[in-house]
Amino acid sequence: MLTSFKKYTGIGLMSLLLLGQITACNKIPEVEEIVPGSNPGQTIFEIVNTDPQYSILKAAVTKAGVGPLLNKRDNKLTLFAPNNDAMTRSGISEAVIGALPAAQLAAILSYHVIPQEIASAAIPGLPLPNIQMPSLLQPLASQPLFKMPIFPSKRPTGAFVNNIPITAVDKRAANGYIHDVFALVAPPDRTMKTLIAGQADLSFLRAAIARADEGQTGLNRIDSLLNYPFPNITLFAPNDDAFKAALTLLGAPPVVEAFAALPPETVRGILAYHVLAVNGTPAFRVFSPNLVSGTVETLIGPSPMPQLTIDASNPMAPTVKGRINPTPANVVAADLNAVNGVLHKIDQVLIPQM
Amino acid sequence: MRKSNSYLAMMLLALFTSIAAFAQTVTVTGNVKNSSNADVVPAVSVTIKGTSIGTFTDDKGNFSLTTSQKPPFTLVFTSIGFDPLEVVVNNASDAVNVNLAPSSSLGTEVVVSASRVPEKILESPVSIERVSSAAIRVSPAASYYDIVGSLKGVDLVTSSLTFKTPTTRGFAGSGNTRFNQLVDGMDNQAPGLNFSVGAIIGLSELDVDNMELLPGASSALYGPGGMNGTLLVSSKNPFKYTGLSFQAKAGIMNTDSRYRGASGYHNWAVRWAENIKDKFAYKINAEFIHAKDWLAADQRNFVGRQSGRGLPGPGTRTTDPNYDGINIYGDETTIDIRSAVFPAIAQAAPFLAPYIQSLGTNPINVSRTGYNESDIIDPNTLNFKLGGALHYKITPKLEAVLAGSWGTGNSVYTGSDRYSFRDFKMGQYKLELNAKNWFVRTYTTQENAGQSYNATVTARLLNEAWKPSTTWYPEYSQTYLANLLAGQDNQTAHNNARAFADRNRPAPGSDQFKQLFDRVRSIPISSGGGLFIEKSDLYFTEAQYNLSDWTGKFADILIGGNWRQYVLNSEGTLFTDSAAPIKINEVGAYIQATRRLFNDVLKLTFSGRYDKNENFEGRFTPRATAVVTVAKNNNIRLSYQSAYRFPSTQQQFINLNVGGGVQLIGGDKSFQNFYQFDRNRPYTLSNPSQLHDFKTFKPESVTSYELGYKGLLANGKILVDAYGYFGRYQNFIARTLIGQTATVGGTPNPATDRKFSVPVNIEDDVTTYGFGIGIDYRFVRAWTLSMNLSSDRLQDVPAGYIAFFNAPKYRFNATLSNSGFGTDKRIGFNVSYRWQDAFFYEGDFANGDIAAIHTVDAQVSYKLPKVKSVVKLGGNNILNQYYFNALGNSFVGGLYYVSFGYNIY
Repeated sequence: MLTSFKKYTGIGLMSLLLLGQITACNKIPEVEEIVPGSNPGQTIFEIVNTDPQYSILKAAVTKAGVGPLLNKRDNKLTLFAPNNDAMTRSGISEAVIGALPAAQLAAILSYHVIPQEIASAAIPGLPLPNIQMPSLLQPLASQPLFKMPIFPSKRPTGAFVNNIPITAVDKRAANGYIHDVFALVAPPDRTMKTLIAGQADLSFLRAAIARADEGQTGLNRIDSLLNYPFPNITLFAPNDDAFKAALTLLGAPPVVEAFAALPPETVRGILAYHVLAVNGTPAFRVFSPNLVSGTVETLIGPSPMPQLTIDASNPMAPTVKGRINPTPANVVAADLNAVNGVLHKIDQVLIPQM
Repeated sequence: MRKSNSYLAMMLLALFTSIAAFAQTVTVTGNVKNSSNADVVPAVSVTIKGTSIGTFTDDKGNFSLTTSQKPPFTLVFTSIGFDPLEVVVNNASDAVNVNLAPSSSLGTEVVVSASRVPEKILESPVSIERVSSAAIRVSPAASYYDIVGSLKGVDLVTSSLTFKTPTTRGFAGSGNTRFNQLVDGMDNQAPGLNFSVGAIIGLSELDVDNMELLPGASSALYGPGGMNGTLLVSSKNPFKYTGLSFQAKAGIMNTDSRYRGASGYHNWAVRWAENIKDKFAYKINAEFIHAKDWLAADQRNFVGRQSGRGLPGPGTRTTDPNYDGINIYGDETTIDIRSAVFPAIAQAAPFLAPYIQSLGTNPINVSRTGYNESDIIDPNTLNFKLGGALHYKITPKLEAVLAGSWGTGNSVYTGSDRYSFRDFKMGQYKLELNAKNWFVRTYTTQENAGQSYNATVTARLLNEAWKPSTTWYPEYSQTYLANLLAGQDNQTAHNNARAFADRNRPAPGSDQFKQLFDRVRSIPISSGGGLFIEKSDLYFTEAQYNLSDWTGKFADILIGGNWRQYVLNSEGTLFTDSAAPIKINEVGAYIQATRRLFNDVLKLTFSGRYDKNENFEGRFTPRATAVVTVAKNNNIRLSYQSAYRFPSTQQQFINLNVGGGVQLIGGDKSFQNFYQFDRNRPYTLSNPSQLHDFKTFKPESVTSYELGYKGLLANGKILVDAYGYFGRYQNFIARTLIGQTATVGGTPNPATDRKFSVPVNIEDDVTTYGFGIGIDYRFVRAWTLSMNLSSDRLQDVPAGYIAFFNAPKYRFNATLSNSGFGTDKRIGFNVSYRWQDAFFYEGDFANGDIAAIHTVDAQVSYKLPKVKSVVKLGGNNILNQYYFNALGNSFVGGLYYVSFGYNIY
């Protein structure tokens, strides 16, 4: 009995020591990385690079150097892609691209990209005129949260970005969506104030603004508001002929100096009646495809203040009518896009009240 | 008159005879040696047979015994580990030099704790494990507390190098409140912090006479608390163990610099004791430990802390914005920036509102950046223990003891958070009267947490002190959005946002960091800092009387009783005691009757104990045991035991804001009004539509049944001990999370509502069962092989139930030792191997899987008998296989040391 005990003890001891050597490997669990889900398929960049209908766009992307960004597999983007037809329509050829500075190209292309996945289903329809989304274009170096806004919208007839029709939607890429656009979506490069300053047929409007701002300071000045980069202003801008007609109607001479004879409040009230608003604040940038027939509020205030009446039954020739105006005004030049708003030239001054 | 004359005569006679007796005393002197190697044997009991007159050999093996008894008489020499010897003294002037033979038989030890009276370990009515000072001497463990961890059925939870908590029968955890630790009869639990501090404030290693471990329910004799077991540590009596002893250990740890640079380990201990004429004796002990602690470096992401049921998951600081590393502190602060910050941004920048809306409605949870444990917790472990005792024999049969032990140091503990103990102090002071049949003991425990702080809270507040979350999160959110707007992917946007919000963040170790850190940790928790003030005290008095001299014919009867008072004083930092200290009184009494039947073949014992805590209904706990001697030295034991535990002082009165932002509160009724639970009833966090039902808070209890066998086989060369048990827990105390709406009748919002963790009694019973088997085999003289295997299981666990069972299904220990071989048998060695199975750990701090653990400890020693010294080379976890045995605890690696011990016995 004892001898067998001794024998087995010996064996047991040897195996114990061996066991200690072999299995004494304690595990300290290591930290685990989160492996990002793989996004299969082509990236936006790869699609642009390989689809022949984007060859001009490809040239632009390459020259502008935005390829790596569009090629990041784990970011989320939406590209409004002008295909070759759209580029040609906008007068852009590979030759033009070759001539443009890379920085300018980069700015133009950045305006075509929303840093978010926006499927067509996610673009809101009516009653919202459109939705303001940031593009990749940053106008002010000190304001990283402020990007040049771009405005996708959806109607039963189709979708738009700003005033440009979308021709094909929802091309799925690993890192987002591509929507084809009818033409280049030109980024604005100036504020409403600068835009107005550059229009030869808006000299009366400028004079009216100057008169209306007399005695005003800060953002209460229409002038300042039009130069403030953050709001969304929709302005129906009566051209010089419209103002001359209105001044004549009032019995004043059809010259810019005539505004001096009018009380500033009156001029201010009339100008405010040309700016769309929600609850007294300019809130939407309404491009011509976003115009909807019906009454709309202006900066002079919500109903019972006088409203404007819009008739968009002919989308190619929308009209807008002031309460007192006997006839609607025609939009003579639509969709002048600025950093902070859009301007539609009209051929009448809209009159809220006598 | 005649009567008084006769009294006078008698008194004179008595005086005369006593003078005569004094005149006739004889003094016997002698020396005791070990027959196997001629070493002197100290601390041998030398008594005159049939009397209580006796003494002990000193550290040179010499004894001197003065008696009035005339030769011839018989001297009895006894010492643990040696065969007893009787020598007849015919002439007192002859020196009595004897040689004691080392005992070849196992299982000769005597234990006290199983029945509160001495009995042979083989006849113990319940499972018991004993660690003698000899075992401590030959163990490779760097600290004697570690030895407990290799006993059958024991789990040792290692919070840090010096903070170790033993547990039996499951429910392990740092600072286990279900396991009592008594040192020289004093409850070693810190009265306010509730954990036992045996490892840091207990006895100095050189002063440990023995440790006895009672696994399983043991409150019938030791009072409430010993639900899962009791560890009793006894110190060396200065009458018996005398002289100067010292030990110096120098070691090295963190040798591979995996978690912390290689560092030293130092442990010095000294003991001095003197026996003055067997009438008066005293001892002084000191021990000093200094090391750089193990580092808790679990950097895994703790996912789902807010739910109260988190688990380690994937994710790092750079891949999860809401990363909450287990041993990273400060990153517990988390908010959903989408709901908490984005609305304000959208309001200030309306042009961003549609974009922010396009990000969806899912929460974007972001945690603040944390600091590593090494940045927040001082790695210097210091431990200084001082102890002393005065023993005075009022009569030969009545001994008075005045003893004190005091300790201070730095250590790290895992509770509901990680705590750094700095300058923690605790003292225990005792006055005791011991007679043959009775004792009276009174002691107090005085605790002072010193500069201790909560690492989690301190790190979170450090972040706030540097940059408040009200600034940090908006900065983060804006940068995050700006990055998304620039076309960055989500994770890069998060990382850039963090880099921006954290710019100029004080680097660990920098002056700015130290300044902020020291400021935050020195402000009490109640005033918005991380410091907890803890000056709670315990007062305890007990007495026991053994009535057996009168009742022996019928049964041996033992009675006893005790009174306990807690005085909680945390100045409002830990308890609801900002107004005044909270006092809690408890009284208890016990009785035990033992009767031997059928010629000592059957020994029956019945014990019962009644305790009353002023805040709870009184409880009676019975115990019944039977020992059947089936053959000589072969006993079968059978027991029914019950135990219960009043909720700990923290479970009653704690009021502490912890890591996840949850208010940890006690179960006392006063909280109802304090937090207006009566007016604004909280809801269950796991089911917000359900209001929380505050039920009467009750003590928890356990009943357990055990069958065991202990016996000697093969002529005493093999000792077998085996047990199986079954236990049932009732009213088990756990915690649950509740939320309180901001206004009465408001809609529950678990994300933002105030959250509380409240103690509750679990209504379902929990059943545990298990077994253990141990075999000690002394196969050739000095060679011993010991092996044990044990298992603890939990069953009938309802789904979703957090039991905190925390025990591996199986654990195994094997030790091979040799007490002396080579020239003059000077070399000894000991190799131990321990394995424990993987298990799932549940704790207040974190939950998760614990991998299987293997460790090998070993030592080789060489005796220098001429200078009574031993040189030892030892190592713990010698393969340097890092392990951790509870979530959030230190990663323990190899510790290697050399020690020199003088006069250690």
